[in-house]
Amino acid sequence: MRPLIWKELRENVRWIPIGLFVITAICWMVHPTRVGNNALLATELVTHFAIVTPFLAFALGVVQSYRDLQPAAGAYLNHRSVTSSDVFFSKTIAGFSLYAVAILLPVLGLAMWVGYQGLWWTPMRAAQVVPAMVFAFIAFALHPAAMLMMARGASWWGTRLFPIVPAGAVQVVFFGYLHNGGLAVAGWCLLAALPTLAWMMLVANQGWRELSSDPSAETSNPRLSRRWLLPTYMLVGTTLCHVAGVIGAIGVFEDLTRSRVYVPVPFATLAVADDSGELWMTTKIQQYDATIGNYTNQVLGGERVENGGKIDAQADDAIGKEFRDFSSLWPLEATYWSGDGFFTQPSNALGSSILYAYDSRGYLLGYQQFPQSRWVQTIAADGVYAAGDFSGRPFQQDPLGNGWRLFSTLVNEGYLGPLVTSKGVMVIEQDPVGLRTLLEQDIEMGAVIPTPAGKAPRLILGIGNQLHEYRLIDETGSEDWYVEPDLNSNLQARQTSKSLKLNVEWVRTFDVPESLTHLEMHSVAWAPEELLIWQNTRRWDDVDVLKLRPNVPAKLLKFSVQPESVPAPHEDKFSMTMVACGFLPGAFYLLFLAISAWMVLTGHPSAGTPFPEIAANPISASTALISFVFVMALAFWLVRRVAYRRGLSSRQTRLWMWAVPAVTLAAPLSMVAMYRLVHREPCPSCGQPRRVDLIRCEHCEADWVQPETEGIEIVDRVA
Amino acid sequence: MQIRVIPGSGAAIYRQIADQVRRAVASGELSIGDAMPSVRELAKELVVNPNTVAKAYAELVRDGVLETQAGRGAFVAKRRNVFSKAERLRRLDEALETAVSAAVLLDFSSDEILARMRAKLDKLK
Amino acid sequence: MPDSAVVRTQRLTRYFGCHAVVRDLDFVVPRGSVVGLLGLNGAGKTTTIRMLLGFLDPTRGTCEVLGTDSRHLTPQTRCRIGHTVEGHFLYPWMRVRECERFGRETHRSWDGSLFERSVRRFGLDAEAKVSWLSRGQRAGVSLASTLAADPELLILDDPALGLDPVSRRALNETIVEFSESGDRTVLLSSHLLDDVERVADRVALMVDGRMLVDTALDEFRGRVAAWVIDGDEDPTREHSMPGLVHCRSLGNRWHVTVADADEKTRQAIEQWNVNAESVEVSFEDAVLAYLSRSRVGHSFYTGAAS
Repeated sequence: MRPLIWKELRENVRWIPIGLFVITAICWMVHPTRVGNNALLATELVTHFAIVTPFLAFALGVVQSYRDLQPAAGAYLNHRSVTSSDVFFSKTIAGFSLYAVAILLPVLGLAMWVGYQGLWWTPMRAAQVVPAMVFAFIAFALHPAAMLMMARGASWWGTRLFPIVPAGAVQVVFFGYLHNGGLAVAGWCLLAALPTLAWMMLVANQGWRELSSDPSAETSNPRLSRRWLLPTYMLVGTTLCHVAGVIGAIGVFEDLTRSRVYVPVPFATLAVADDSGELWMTTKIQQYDATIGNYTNQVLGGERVENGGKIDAQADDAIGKEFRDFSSLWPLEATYWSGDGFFTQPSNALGSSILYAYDSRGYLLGYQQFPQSRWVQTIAADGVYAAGDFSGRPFQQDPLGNGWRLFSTLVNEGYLGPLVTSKGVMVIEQDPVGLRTLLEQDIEMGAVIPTPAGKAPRLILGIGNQLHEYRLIDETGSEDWYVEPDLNSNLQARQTSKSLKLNVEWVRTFDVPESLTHLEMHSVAWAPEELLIWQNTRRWDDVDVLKLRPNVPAKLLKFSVQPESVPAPHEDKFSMTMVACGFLPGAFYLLFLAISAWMVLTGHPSAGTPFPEIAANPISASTALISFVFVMALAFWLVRRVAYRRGLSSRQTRLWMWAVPAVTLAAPLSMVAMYRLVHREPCPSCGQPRRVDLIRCEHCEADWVQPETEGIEIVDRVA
Repeated sequence: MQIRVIPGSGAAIYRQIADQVRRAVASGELSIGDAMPSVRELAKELVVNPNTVAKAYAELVRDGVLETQAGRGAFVAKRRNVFSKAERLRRLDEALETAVSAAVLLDFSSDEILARMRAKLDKLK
Repeated sequence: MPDSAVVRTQRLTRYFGCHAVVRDLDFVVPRGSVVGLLGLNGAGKTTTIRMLLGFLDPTRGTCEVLGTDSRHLTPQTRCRIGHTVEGHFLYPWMRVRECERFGRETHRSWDGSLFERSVRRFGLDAEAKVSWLSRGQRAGVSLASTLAADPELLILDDPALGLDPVSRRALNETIVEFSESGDRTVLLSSHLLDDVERVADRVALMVDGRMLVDTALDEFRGRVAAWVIDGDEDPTREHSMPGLVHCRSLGNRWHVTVADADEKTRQAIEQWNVNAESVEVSFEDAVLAYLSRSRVGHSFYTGAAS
C-alpha cells in the first residue's frame, strides 16, 4: 500500500495551500484582541470550524475519488496486485495526513501565540484550541462519506447525496457537545470520535469495494444481511432524515401559526399575602409594558388557602391585594459558570465595572475594560492579589456563578453581588481593594426571598435539614437601605449602581422534617412567624405546603384546587403541528410512553402519565392519531410498491411490513436507499413484465428467447 | 527477396506471402536450397501475425515449393511434382487466364502475345 | 494446467437502464490467439471489456477471465492481465521514471529492462513528466508499463487512436512480438481494419450487443462472398435470400454480400439478374458489410442501411 499512499500524497499535495489559507484566515479572525469584550476563543473557533472543516474534508474526498473512479484511471490502477480496499485506505490515510497538516499548522500557531500572551487581556488559554481540533478530527468523517457518495453511482436527483446525512448528523451532535463544553468534554468526544470514524471508514470501504461496479439487483439485494455495514448505515440515514423532516415540519408549522403578538396567558400559582402573611391561591397574568420596558404582574383572582379545602383560584377575593411569590432554593453547583472552568469568559455577574472570570485553578481573574482590556486583580479565597499573582489560597468551587444565582435580584437592582462558596459568603470591595467575609458557614443551597413591601429581602441558607434565615443589613445595622423598586418605572433607570456595605445577621433557624426529600427542588416564601415550603408540580389536584416554625414541629397544609378554576395553558384546537406529529415514527411514541412509565415507577417528582393531558385535549390528540393512521397506510402501500420495483422476495417484503409501525415512512425510504432497482421487460413467451436480471421468467418459467440467429453468423468456438 | 504485404486488398495476407515466394522461386531470385527466414523473423519483419506466416509456409510446403528440415527451418525445395497432371493443367489454365485477358485488353494480337511469352520463357532458361 | 480458454462468457447481458447494451453474448478467446474485436462505437465492445475486467457487473450471465469469475478477480489474477485504455491514461504529474517505480512497486513480477528498452527506443527522457509527452510517446510509456508486468492476457482498447504512423507501426510490432510465444493472448479492440488484418489471427465482430462473427480471420474471409448486380431497385427488397449480410447501393448497381454462399445462393442470384458479377471480398469489405447491419445507427452515415 505504500506506493499508493505516495501516489495519493503526490497527487493531492497541491490542495494544501487552500486548506492552510482557509484555516489561517479563521485563526486570524478569532484571535483575541486587546480591545472589546472578546468572545470565548474555544467557542468561536469551534463555531467557525463547524462551518468550514466538514466542507474541506468533503471536498478532499470528492477530489481524491473522482478521478480514480473514471474508467481510464480506474483501469490504470486496477491491474496491479492491490485490492480496492488498499486503494480506498491509501486514499483515506493520505487524505487524513493532508487534512491534518492543513489544520494543525495554523491552529498550533494560534495556540502558541495565545500561550505566549497568557491571560493579560482576557482569560485565554492555549488549550482553548482543543475542542476545535477534536471537532476537526470528527469532521474528517465527511471524507469517507464523500468517497462513498462518489462510488455509489445513484442519480443526482435521487439518493446521490444521501450518504452525507449520517456523517452530517454526527457533526451536529459533536458540535452540540464541543460548542460549550470544556476540556473534559473534549476528551470524551475524542474517545467517542475514534469508533465513529472507524465505523464511517468501514462503511465507505464496503461501498467502495462493492458499489463502484454497479452490481445488478439480483446479486446485491438478497444478500444484505451478510454485508450489513452499508445497509445499516443507510437505515440510520433515512431514520435521521425522516425524524429531522418531521421535526422541521413541526417547527415550520409552529412558526407559521404562532401569533406574532405576545398574548399573555393567565396562570395559577401560590403566593403569600403581604398584609396577613397567609397563603393564597392566585391566578395571575404577566403583561409586557413597553413604557417601562418590563413585565408587570396583575392578579386576576384567588382565594385564601384552608387546610383540606377545595380552593377556587378565580374567586374575586384576591383582587386588589398585594402578594409576594415563592422563591426557588438554588443548590450550590460545583459546575462552572461557563465551559468547564477551563475555558471561561469574563462576566459582570457581580455588577461591578471589573469583569471577573473563574479560572479552573481556583481563582477569580478580574479584568478592567477601559481603555484596554487588562488583567488587574486576582481574587483568591483569602484575599485580593495583584494580576499574575497565584499565591493565594484557591477556591474549591466557582463563587461567581453561585453568587449570581442567589443574589440575582439584588444584582439586577444595581447592588454589588457577593461571592458564595460552600464555606461562606464574602464580598469584593474596591476601595480599598480587599475581600471581606460576611459569613462563614457551610452552605448547600440558598435563596434571597422578598419580605413585605418596603422591607429588605432576607437570605435563606440551607445545610442538611436546616434552613437558616439571615437579615441583610448595611454598616449601620439597619435594614432600611433597601429601596423598594418602583415597578412602574423604567427598568433601565432602576439598574443604576447603588453602593452598599453589606452585612448579614442571623435571625433564626428552621428544622426541616426528615420526610421531605429533594429540598433543593422546593421553593420558600417568608411569613412573619414562619417559613413556607412548597414544590411546584404544576398539578393542582393534591397540593402540599409545609409551614415551618423554629423549635416547633412543622405543620402540613393539604388542599386541592377546583380544576375548572385553573386556567388551561393553551387552547385545544386543530393545528397542523398535530398533523405533522402523526408523521413521527411509532417507535417515538413507544419510547415516550416507556419513559413516562419509568418515571412514574421510580417516583420522579414531575412524573405523571400523559393520559390526563390527552383527555384534556381531544381535538389535538385525535388529529395526531388520524394523521398517524393515514401515514401508516401510506407507508404500507409504499413498501409494497418499492418492494416490487426493487424485486424483493416476499420474505423481505414481509419483514419490511413489520417494520412499518415502528418507523412509518422511514421504511420505504430505507428500502429506496438500500436496494437496487430492477428493470422489467415484457416476457417473449407470456407477455408479462419480467425482471431482466433473472434467467427464468417469474410467471411462466421460460428462458430468455435466444435472439434469432439471422443465418449470417460465422461462429466456430475453439474451446 | 523483398516481400510486401498489402492489407485490405482482395487477397488474404498468407496468400500474398505465398504468391510472392512462389514468384521469387520461379524467377530464380530464390535458388534451390536457400534458407527461408524463420516464421518469427518473417513475422517481425513484415509486422504480421506469426500464424499467418506459418500458414503461408504450410501451403508452400504442401505445394512442394518449400521443404522443412527438422530443427533448421524451411528451405527452397527441389522442384517436385506434387500435383497430378490434371491438377497442374488446371492451375496453368488459371494462371494463363489472367495473363491472356490482360493481354487481349491491351489490344495485342495473338502472335504478339505468343512472341512475348516465348521471350520470357527463354530468359528463365 | 492452464485452461485453453483465456476468456469465456456465457449469455452475458448488460442493461443500462432499459436498454440492453450487450445481449446474451457467448464469447471465447482461446489461449495464444490474437483476437481483433470489431464493432461500431456503442456496439458494446468497451462494455464487454469492462465486464471482463470486473469494472462493471453483468446484469445476467457470467464471464470468466483466466479461469476466474470476473466479479471475484483477485489481485493475483489481475496482475496477469494487461490493459490499456483509449488515450493511454497515465498520471500527468508523474515522471517517466516514477511510472517505472510505481509499476515496479505494485506488481509482483516486473521486467525493468523491458521498460528501459522501450524508453530508449522512443527516445524518452526519464525525467520528463507525462504531461509533456506527445500522444505517441505516452502510448509508448503506457504500453511499456503494461508489458513490463509480463501479463498473460493483453487487452488493448483502441490503442492506435490518434497515433502517428510511426507509433502505429511500433504498436503493431509490439503486438506481434508479444504474441510470438503462443502462450500469451491478445484481445485487440480497434477500428483500424488494416492493422487488425495484419496482427490478428481471429476476428470477433459485435453488432448491437450481439456477437455475429467469432472465428479465425481467414476462415471469416473465406466464408463471405459478394456479387455486384445491375438494377435500379434494391433486389433484396423483392427477393429473400438466406445468408444475406448486406446490400449496398453503387449508383445503379448493387453490391450484395452473402455469408456461406452455396450453389443455391448462386442460382438464386442468377435467377434475379443474369448480370451478376462475382467480386473479390477483402477483409475490410466483409467487416463493413457486417457492421452496416447495425440498426442503432452510430455511424456518421447509414445511407440506405436496412
